[in-house]
Amino acid sequence: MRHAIRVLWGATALVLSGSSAATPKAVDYSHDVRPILAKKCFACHGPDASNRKAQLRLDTSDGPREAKDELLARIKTHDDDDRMPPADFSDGKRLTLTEVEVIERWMAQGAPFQDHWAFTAPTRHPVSTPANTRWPRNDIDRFVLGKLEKEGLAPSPEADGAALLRRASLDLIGLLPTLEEHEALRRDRRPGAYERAVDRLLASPHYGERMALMWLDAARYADTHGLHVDSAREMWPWRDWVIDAFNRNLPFDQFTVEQLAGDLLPEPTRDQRVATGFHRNHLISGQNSEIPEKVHVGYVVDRVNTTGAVWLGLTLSCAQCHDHKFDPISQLDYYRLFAFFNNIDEKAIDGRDGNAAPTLPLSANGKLTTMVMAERAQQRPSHLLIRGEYDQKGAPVEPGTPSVLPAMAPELPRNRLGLARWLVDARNPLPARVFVNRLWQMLFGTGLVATSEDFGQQGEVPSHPELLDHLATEFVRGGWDVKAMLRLMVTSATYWQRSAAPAAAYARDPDNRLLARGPRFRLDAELIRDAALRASGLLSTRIGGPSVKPYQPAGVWAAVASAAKTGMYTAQVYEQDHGESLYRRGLYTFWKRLAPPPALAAFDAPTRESCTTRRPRTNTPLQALVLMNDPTFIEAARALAAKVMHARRETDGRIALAFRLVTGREPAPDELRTLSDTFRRQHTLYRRDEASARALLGVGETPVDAALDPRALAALTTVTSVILNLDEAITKG
Amino acid sequence: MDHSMLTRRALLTGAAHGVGVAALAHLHPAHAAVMPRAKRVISLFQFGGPSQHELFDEKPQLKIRHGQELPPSVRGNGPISGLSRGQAGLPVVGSPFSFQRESRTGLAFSELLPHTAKMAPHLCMIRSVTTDAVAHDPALTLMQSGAQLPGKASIGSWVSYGLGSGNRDLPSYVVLTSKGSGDKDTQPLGPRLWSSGYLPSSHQGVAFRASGDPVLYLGDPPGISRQQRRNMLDAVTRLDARLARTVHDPEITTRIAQYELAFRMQSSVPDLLDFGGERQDVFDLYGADTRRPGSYAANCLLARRLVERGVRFVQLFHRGWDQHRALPEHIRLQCGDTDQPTAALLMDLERRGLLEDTLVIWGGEFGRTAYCQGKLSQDDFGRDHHGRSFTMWLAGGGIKGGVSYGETDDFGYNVTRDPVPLRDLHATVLHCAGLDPSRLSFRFQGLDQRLTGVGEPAKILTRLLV
Repeated sequence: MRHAIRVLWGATALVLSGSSAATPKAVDYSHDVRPILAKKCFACHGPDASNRKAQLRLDTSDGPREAKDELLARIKTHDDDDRMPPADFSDGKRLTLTEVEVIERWMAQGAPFQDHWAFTAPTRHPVSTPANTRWPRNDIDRFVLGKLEKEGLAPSPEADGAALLRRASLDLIGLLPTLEEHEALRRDRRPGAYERAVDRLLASPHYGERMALMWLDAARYADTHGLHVDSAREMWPWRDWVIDAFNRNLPFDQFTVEQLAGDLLPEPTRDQRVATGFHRNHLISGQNSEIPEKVHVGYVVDRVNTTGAVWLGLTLSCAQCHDHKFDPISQLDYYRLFAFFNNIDEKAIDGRDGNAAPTLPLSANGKLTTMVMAERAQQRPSHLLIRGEYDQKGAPVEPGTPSVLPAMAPELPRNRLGLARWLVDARNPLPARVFVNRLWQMLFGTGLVATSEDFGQQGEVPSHPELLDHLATEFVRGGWDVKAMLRLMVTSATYWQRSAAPAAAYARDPDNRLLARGPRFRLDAELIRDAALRASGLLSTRIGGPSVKPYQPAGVWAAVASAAKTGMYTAQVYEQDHGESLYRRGLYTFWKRLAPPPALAAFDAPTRESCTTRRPRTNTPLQALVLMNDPTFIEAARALAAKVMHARRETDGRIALAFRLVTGREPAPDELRTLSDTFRRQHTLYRRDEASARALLGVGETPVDAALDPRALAALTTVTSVILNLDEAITKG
Repeated sequence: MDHSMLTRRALLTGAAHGVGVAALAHLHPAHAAVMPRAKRVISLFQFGGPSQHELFDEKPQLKIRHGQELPPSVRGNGPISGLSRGQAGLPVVGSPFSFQRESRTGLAFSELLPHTAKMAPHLCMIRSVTTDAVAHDPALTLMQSGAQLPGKASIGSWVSYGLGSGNRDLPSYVVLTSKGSGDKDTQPLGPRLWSSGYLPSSHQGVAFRASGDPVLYLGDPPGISRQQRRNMLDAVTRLDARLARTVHDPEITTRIAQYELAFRMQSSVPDLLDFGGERQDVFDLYGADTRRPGSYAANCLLARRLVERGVRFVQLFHRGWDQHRALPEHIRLQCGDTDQPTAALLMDLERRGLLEDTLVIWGGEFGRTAYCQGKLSQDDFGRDHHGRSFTMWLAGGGIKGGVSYGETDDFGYNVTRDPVPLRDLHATVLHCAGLDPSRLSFRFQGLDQRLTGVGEPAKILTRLLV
């Protein structure tokens, strides 16, 4: 926002300058200048050596200073032949008057240069000292409030206990709190009641499931191979390892090392080898269909790109074919990383058996396996691939890390284990920042760096750079303790704020970047499912195991099934499960990449074909159709209705209880009236038409409770369905 | 004035009084400033960057100089795509396909497009489109939203915002996707591209599913009548509207509108998707693929059915044009998927009297290079991304047919006359739809945001207009 205002004022200021006595505000390189240069100059005068024009480089400290006079003349001239950026480059990339002025002022200040913030180590900044000293609960709040006060804003009031418990419970275990949990918090009058509730949530075995959800997207986890016939694989033992690792609070550095190189640890345990399935989650090709070398290169490229996105927050893939245009990542850097992952012998799958070698047997009979990494005895030579083509080998390369980042310690082995240890070396400026930012995104909806997948020069600068650095250094200092980091965040006053705010506040800061209110956004797809099942009592709390196939409309798989020989291949025909498997958490739904679970896809779940670190958050009529008509949600409404019928005698009491189970609060009198009016109307209809009542109750496979009057149960089911469709039901607020 | 505030207040008032919210969608901001020629738009987005050299922009010099180095004077100072940099040379490559001039118009079409050629009198061939971006993601984002960085509103959501809904029972912006037979590219194609950005999110594109049934979960469960559903929805709306009055999150208001739309889609979509009433000659026109849901041909027919019902903006994305290698083989496959259905759509619209007020746009996010990427052999080559010049065509509502606009040099490399930057293209599309590109704006973060950008003014390409 400040940007936009500055642009407007800048234009005016230019007209007035000369006579104006006002001292111009100092230009900040990272904030004001680099974005202009990155967008309009670096393509020809940036890191990419092979395409650099006039040997002029503007992404360095000295380049612009040395070229000062020429540079200013060329950006200011009216002669189209001389003007930079050149006319034929593109009209859109001309500098605006304001941009010229920013560069001039920067030059007048002596062209001070800063390295791109993300490539320099995070430092601990002095904590802000806001005027309001009562509000902050921890250092997060001091940074946040410092900025709010600068903007002339004040934080929102505290959310009430029930709302806060619902928020934290959804964030930390992905489940709605039970009434008992609400009650326990209400009764706990001692100081620190909320903090104790947080500790209970962090100790819950469901915490690992919630965290795995975020990690499965990043790791492109799925239950099919994704190419050709898209047949089945069994990687759920790896998924269960992730759940368990989060539950054990395995420090993030160790979590990293085991997944990237567990097999290379001295005497690796079975679990440590299972962990390496992280880099076997990529798409795997079928037999005979492709050139083996091309397929192999594709796998390695996927591992490099995923590693870059997940740990470094960089779009390394740009450097697969050429030096990166905006970030100082050369093509050589790319293939040096490539060399780390180039030493696995992988077999193709053939669509009939599940996993492709190398695998690790997990059952006594050897039938259950999971895919793992295994190093070849003989190092496979790696080459720079010209234009990224698998068959265009350039110079040989050795494993190595990008030159813009601190070098690998000499004692580290030049293999995946060394790479993993280098990633989590405290001197590496990126992984700690990238991960704490992702935690922040999970809780607050938008990261401190909004482009959580890109910390490079094309990404967004952080909204609160000092806070980000504070959290990153705190994370490392505390031993990469994920639970401790989350605890710090969810016990901050920033998190504690109410999300209701005046319309003007929403209009001024739609994405809540300034954090003047509590987080409020739609739940992720899987959590919407879990919430309905949990409120109704249908949810299975079993953790782990093979993926399951709940209700799904007919024809979803058939549309992508291999036309010939469907019977030969796995995962071509959807055979819906029964019993408990229908009520497992969304995270256990069988994920077929060519036809992902449609009810989850409608709420922006990705296909898992490649790494996703940030889901879009759309709001469409198709989502309404899922919540209104998917048998999962109809059956949940019926079970919720039956549950409250058993618990209360009066209609209003029943409705209020159902409302509270879903939203965490008592309905206001007029809300209750709306719902009980609906009940009465529906009940009148069903009293006259019991067949329809029974038809509705027939949706879903749980037996109908014969002790309940079907007409009343059906009417109440329509009311609980209304409740499950409320904005509040699918929103964390 | 803050339109988002106005809209929200209007919607809430309406909702609170039980008025169908979408009725208010007709209260669109007064941006319509010119006589609309097009009441709706169909964008046939050829995703990946189809080669103009193999389709429309015939260059005899490329054939004559086949295999020779691209002259440095042609290449000039501009950057070339990173993908072919580092290549030992840049040999130009002539198209292996023959071209014919269509008799009525003199427009050239390659042998790959016999059906499209028949529609030449309707087409305005723009040979001089030029884009700043040469990588898929920024180029797509630029084509869709006028900016390379994500976050702006897409063209379909602008048209929806500007014109309002033409049919309360369907989304005003519908997205259909299909996979081509050509290159199996893996470029992401996600909701960011049809997002409404800072515009109210009710204007975002609604994407139908790419395979099988386009819309799932349409039917009410057994035992719930339409009247009961209506009652249930009234309760949802009343409670959500109440919440919006205290929480003020605009997403709640959008959700109310989306529920109302979902309710109406339950009635309108089965009819929309039921091709049973189409006559056999329609299936013959669009081709054999039409009966396969999710194919480009089926989507073309669906596009006609959507605009027929008043949907403002229908956008097809057809994948498979990113032919860095094996171009001759893959482009033939792609044209096999698309040529007949594309022409059929135009013809069908014309027969029904819809073409004169439906603007049809054909094109990709950029074109392809005059020179070869990768190995150049007797019958195989690839072409890299090329943003400096490429061909798109417009047809229908407000557009002059049978003409070409802009010229490129002998190599099809640089624009030599009438360059068309994307903002001019965008301005022209909006103008055809009766919207003034300089006035269609939305106040966000201190700026009047426009599809055509907040910088230099965009030009309407008046010579293309009827």
